[in-house]
Amino acid sequence: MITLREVSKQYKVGRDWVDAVKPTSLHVEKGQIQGIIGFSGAGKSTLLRMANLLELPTAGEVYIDGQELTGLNAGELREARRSIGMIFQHYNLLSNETCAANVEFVLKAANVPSKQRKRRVEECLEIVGLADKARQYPAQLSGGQKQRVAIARALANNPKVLLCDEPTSALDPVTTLSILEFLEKINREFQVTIMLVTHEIQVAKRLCSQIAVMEGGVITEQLDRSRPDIEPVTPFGKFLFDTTNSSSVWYRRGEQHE
Amino acid sequence: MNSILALQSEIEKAIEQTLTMVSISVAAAIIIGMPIGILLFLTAPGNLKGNRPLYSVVGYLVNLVRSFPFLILLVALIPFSRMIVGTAIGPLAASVSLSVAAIPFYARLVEQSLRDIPKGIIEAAVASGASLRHIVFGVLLSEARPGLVSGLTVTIISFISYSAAAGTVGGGGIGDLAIRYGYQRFDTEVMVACIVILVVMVQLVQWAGSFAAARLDKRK
Ligand SMILES: Nc1ncnc2c1ncn2[C@@H]1O[C@H](COP(=O)(O)OP(=O)(O)OP(=O)(O)O)[C@@H](O)[C@H]1O
Ligand SMILES: [Mg+2]
Repeated sequence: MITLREVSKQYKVGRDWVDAVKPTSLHVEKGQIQGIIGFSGAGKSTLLRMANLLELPTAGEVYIDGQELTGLNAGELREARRSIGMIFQHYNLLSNETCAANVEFVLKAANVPSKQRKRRVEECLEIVGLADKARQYPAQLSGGQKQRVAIARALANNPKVLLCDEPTSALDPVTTLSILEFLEKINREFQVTIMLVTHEIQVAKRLCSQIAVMEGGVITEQLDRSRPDIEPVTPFGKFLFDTTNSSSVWYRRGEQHE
Repeated sequence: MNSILALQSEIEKAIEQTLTMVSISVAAAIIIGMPIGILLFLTAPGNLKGNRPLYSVVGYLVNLVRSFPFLILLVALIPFSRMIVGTAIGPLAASVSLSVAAIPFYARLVEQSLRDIPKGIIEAAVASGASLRHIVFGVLLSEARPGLVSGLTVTIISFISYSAAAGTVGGGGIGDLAIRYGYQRFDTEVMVACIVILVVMVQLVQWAGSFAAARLDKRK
């Protein structure tokens, strides 16, 4: 569903070029939850943001659902982005608009007719359990509620893919868990493929079916929850499959909360 | 009081002339200055439609007009006013120069309030596949609303005062009245009346502007 092929990103800083991401490939199958984990500055956000071309790769190709984004013109890219939702650490909601208007914005942007828009806004706020907050402004909500509005907004155009950049990093552990449950539900019920960046190992462990470890602008290891037989090599990988430490073991999805 | 009563109709006419000059120049600021401010924001290097040459040219023109002392601009534009409204005298002619000054004045304030929008909010809209039109009307003008209104308040107040200066070169209005009676004929009462009228106008605009900006600001 998501294929990054030999993508790299360089930034010009002063006179020098710095490699935020060195040539790296990643493939995410439909319906999976792919985590990207690593220390600050590893290039996680840059890699994620190349998946919808918020960052244009210096080289390499990006495919979403078989379509090469890197080969599209501006209008086609806008069209393609409507089926790629995105949520952020700091929510990025329109602060002078109500929750309902925030969700409606992306529907307007996709030229959905007014009547359908109203219905879809209600549906989406219903999915994240915030139908009663439709008329409120973001400033009147808690962090977790704001992130849920952002999720509702990301879902509005029925995306195939959801990109998440540290969506729980500004939240307390309990609220984090509830956001992760929403993401899990969206993945399960709407078959949305998720790519999630985090530096919190517990978050990745709780949610992801695959985890890529990033360091110094490259993916150093791709771990699969269903393949604990493959010997991990990075410290992150070793931690995730360390059966002697019960707080770290990467349970198969579903085992933990049933 | 006598001289004020005797001049009542003249004071009314002066108020009307001042309002004409201020309304025309502020309307020009909104209709032309605001789009220029948006253009400056969008074309700034690194922004949505980053275009250094265009940004530089427009920015240079804006700075050029803004660096003229207003009285000099007023005089320099006399031929232009005559071309547009057929005369170089009266509130309409003065409105031409005032508008030329008000457009870049408000454009910069618009640009500044757009710069204050957190980058991530615009980015979220880009990621959702919104077109430029939706981003401008749905994101930029919405997020910057309180700043745009505050900027407009500053513009109106500045141009009430500029219009008084314009009066002295034949624009009419309160400023002209104050100079003709208060300064040239030593009629202190008229002078004081004119000042009171200007102060009241400015206070009213400031109060209404602050009220509107606060009402439009949902960021808390
Ligand atoms: N716009 C930019 N200009 C210059 N350098 C940048 C830019 N964006 C990112 N970088 C650099 O690229 C590297 C990777 O940044 P990135 O934001 O992808 O890291 P990250 O893994 O997401 O880190 P964090 O966990 O802190 O968010 C960093 O060294 C950063 O300084
Ligand atoms: Mg990051």
